[in-house]
Amino acid sequence: MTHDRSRPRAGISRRSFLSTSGAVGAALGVGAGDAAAQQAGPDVAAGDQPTITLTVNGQHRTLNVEPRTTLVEALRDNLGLTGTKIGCNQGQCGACTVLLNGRRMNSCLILALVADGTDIVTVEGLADPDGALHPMQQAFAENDAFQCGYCTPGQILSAIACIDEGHATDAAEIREYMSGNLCRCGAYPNIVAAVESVRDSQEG
Amino acid sequence: MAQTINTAVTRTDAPRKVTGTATYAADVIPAGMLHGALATSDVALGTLTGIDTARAEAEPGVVAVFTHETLPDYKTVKGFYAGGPGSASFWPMEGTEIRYAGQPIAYVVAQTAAAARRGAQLIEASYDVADGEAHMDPATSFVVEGREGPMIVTKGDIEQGLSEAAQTVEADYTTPFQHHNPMEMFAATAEWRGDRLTVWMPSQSVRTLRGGIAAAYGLAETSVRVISPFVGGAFGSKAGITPYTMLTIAAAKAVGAPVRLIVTRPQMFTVATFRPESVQRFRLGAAADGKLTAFEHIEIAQTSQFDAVVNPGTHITRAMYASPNIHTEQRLARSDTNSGGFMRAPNEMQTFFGLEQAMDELALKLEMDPVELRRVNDTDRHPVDDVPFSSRSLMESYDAVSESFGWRDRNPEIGSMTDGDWLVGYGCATATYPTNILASNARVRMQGTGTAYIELAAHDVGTGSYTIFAQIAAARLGLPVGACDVVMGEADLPVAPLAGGSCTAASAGSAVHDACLRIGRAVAEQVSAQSEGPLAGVDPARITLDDGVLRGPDGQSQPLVEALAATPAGEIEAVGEFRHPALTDGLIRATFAGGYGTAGPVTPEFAMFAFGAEMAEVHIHRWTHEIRVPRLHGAFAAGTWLNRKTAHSQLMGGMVWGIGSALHEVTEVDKPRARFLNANIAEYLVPVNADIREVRVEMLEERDDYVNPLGVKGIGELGIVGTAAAIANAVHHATGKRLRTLPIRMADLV
Amino acid sequence: MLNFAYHRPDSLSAAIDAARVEGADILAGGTTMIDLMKIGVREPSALVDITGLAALEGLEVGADRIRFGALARMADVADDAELKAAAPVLTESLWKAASPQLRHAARLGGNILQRTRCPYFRDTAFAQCNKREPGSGCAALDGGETNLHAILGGSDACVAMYPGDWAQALIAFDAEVTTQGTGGTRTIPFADLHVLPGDMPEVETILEPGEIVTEITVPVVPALKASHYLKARDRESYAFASASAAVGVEIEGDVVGDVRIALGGVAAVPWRAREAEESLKGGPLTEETAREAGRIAFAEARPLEGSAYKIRLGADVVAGALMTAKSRANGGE
Repeated sequence: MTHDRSRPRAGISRRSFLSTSGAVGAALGVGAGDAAAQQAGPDVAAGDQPTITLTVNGQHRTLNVEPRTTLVEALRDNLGLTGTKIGCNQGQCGACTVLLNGRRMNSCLILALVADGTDIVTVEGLADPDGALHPMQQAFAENDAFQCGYCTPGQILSAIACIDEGHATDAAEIREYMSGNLCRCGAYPNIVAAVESVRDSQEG
Repeated sequence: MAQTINTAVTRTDAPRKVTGTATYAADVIPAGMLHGALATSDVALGTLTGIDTARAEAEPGVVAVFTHETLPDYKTVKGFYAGGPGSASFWPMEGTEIRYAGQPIAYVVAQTAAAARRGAQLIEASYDVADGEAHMDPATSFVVEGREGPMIVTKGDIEQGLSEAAQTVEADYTTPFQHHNPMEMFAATAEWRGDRLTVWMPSQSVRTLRGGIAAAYGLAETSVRVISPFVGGAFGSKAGITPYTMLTIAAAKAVGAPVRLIVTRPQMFTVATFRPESVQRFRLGAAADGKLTAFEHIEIAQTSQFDAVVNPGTHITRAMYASPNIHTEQRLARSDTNSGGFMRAPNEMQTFFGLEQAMDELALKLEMDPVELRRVNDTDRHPVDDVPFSSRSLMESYDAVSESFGWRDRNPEIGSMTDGDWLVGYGCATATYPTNILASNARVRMQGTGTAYIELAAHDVGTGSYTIFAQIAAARLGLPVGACDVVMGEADLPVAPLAGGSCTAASAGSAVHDACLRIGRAVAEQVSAQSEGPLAGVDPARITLDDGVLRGPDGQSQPLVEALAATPAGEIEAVGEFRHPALTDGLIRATFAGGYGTAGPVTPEFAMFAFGAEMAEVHIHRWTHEIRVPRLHGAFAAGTWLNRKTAHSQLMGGMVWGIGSALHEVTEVDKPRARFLNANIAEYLVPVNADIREVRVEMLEERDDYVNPLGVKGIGELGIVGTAAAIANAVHHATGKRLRTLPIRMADLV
Repeated sequence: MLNFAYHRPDSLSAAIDAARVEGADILAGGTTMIDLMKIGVREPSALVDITGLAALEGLEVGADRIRFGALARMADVADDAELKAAAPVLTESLWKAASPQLRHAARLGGNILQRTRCPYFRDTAFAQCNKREPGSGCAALDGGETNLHAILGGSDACVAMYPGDWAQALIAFDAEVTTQGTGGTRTIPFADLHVLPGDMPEVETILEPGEIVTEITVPVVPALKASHYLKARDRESYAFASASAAVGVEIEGDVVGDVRIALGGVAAVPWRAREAEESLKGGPLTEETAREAGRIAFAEARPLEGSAYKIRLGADVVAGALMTAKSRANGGE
């Protein structure tokens, strides 16, 4: 299934600032001492089990979560998508990498509530419905870019994003920009080779 | 040899791993599953005087909270170093004794993992605290008592040898606590159905687990299933039966529902094993021509107060170089931690960091090229046991890596090589790994339609076992690799040894090989008894199986698969056995009982080791003092290469691990509180992708007909062994600083 | 992690009102907050998610000043080609931090407010931590390991080290921080944002409850163009600094006009090394003067047993960074 990475990649907004000069208070509609604050956006109480919607691999999924539920646990335990792995649960290893609105992120540090309404791509969403592997999956297999395979889903998503971000110019850059994914089996040189081969075939 | 062996074959489990459909333990979700979490002790030594679970029990979603007083049917097993299947002899939550920081003190069960972990956070405990020491004091060390007496080996007269030497080296080399830190965290899911128990957990030894659990609960083994088809890295940490497993089994029984525990990354530093810290004490003496006159190695390793954790590294170092006078001792010193265990290259990483630096220091004193020092001390007989090596390619490895690395371009003068802002150093070191030979069975079932099933209780922990067993069967049976399906990771399968000591390919692979030969013989019997067919009437004793083809003595032949299709059943199965002649009954029995009965590395006939040589180029930045390894080359010889692609990855992965062991890995200790400090995978450094640049692996040809019918030696740990010393030697070459403590870091160079 | 109330305001004023409530914490990228909540170090009763405030995500590289919206993502700003050309120290100190995944989530405002990595702070099993539990003591100073701790700016109550990178570039170049709070808006020097631990290490900044950083501004000076962030660490990436330096130089002929030096990985707060700067002004920038400046930068350092090496390492890193800045001033890399 091809995924629609809807986030624009063209750099960040030049215009999103509060003000140019002076009238900050006026621009915000807040004056000193204005007690009639606007009502906040969605409000969830600690004991609630709010319903959120995630678009996961192109499918709308609706689920109930607690405020403290992280995205990786929502994917694995609520939705049964166990392809995304938990390697540390603290954002220190990259095993839980998913694409959220096209950006690679550690899903163990994202609250499911915060991910409400976003577009998520996990490893389960990479191959075609008929089973044809994504080029990066194929490249990992051919280059033996894994051994135990546990870090592999996160590596593959990270690798896809690494090329999309334009951070795969040469081997040194690939190594640096793939350093957010630990591999204890030491497959790194083969991972770099896999990324290079996909980059080359995209450019060719 | 058939073309499916000694070729580069893509892993057969690759499609599953790249699609996220390989099921690791925590990916299985039995219906009604609840979640567990551990609370662990804040103190290292003392007594639990009180434990308050009220806040934990009140947390929404928490179903039950168990302590040492309230967990029924919690069973424990004997520790590994006391001859049992457990990871340690002391078990948490049996009483109020606290013996190590991070010891489990309570087990919370809840409807979500987050609620369980929150419950664990809410446990309140009080302690009587005693002063604990996490670091050992080497001065308190004692000699280890082995099965055959004290682990001391003496040949000749070491003092005499030292006094005769032209040059001597006397030095201590120190290695820290290290932790395996596989990417997959420890996990266990237990489900009881009446008296039948199923456990899903990552394991290096499903049979050990099943046997121990069944015995502990007084159950027949057939009532217990242990399932571990995929393991996200083990490196020695997932071998013994650990408390987190037995606690989960008890909790599941108590709550009447399946329970899954995923140990947190910080807890992984305390609830299971680790590499003990060590001091490696060497005294070497050599004549002016470099020949050793004295070889003394005393290894002092840390152990807990309640186990004697022995990783006998002196058994390995004393096999390397000829010397007329040899003295080795295995010693232990106790401190207040959980029991350590075996961690990738457990006898080799620490000891060769010492040995191969000592040899480098000796070479410098002798003004000899370090490679030549190894050459004059190379030997084809074991220096202590005086049996020949079944095969040994140490100097072939040195010569090959010297060539690829450009060792002759080295200017031996200290600090003489630079590259811009970087000081450059070259260093070399020997790598070796003992060939462990264990009894194994394997069942192969072949169908005349052209498929085969290979079934055994072995494990693929990233090692590539799924693939090489398929290759072996494919080669013997004459089938495509893709038609050979390997089933592993369940205790209900034929006995195979624990996936440790790099023994699986050699031992279990040989059993697969044997099963295929038996299939050949059995099919030959059947077709010879038939009235029709190319082998009809031929004496079956004279029919051989030649890589998938049955051949008679007079040129008759028939593809095995065709012959099988012509049999009445059209299908056949055989249980193969690997029983090396050096395996005693006791060793065989030990393996079948779930232990580790190795005949290696030294049998009455031969010494069996894989050898290699590594060379490192290090760069040290003149301003930041950062130490980087732009080139690490290794040449290795290990008998038959079953799969060149996965073997390359094993060796490369070992070298990458070696870089981490040299420059990154250390478990830091807070001394007053006897607690590990960097218990997470951000501050416990392992190499990242950017640390690894050119890693070149050369796989040399070597033939060994003694080790097993496949001629295979284990390689899973080999690549690590020479790396730390090669790097340390290179650092010395660049800076003149001899760093005898791991890891070697910027702080050591400023 | 506890359960908490969650608010996602769609205006800054609503965010301020929600965030000033006792027990509430601001949530931006979450890379610090969620981590600390998981390990039980932070236990807010409510999280106020400000990531809906798109007005705070801007980046403007102007001739006189560079403006950063506090909610701009580290990854996006690090990749900005215009910013890299104008102020390499500002992009380098971003891409050399954390990992790509963390940088895609993390926002600039959160980055400057990141917490210490001190293991005694982060592990609640250690009862003694004045920063986490005021008055409880300091385990590091009570016989503990001090290899990751501050040798500048620490006190007898706390030697926790501020681990951030980008903050060093900001303090070196006189950045300003604009905030919105219940009292309105204010703009303060970045150097005033963080406060020394003193005897109240639990207080890390001058921010009031509910006060939200909205913008960071850096005035453009010639030294910004010839700038560099040098980070020394035991592994090549995805690690905090053992010592780092954010520097910039303006050189006319052979004479140093303006020079900026800030020190990372060594101090309790972002650390400007003014005496070291002064030592270079008006003279040549050579390896010798650079080394001397590095030495001066650490002259007042209080070495702890474990982190004494940072004095020598930090001084060399200052010198090395200055050499790169000099090369850039001369048109090189």
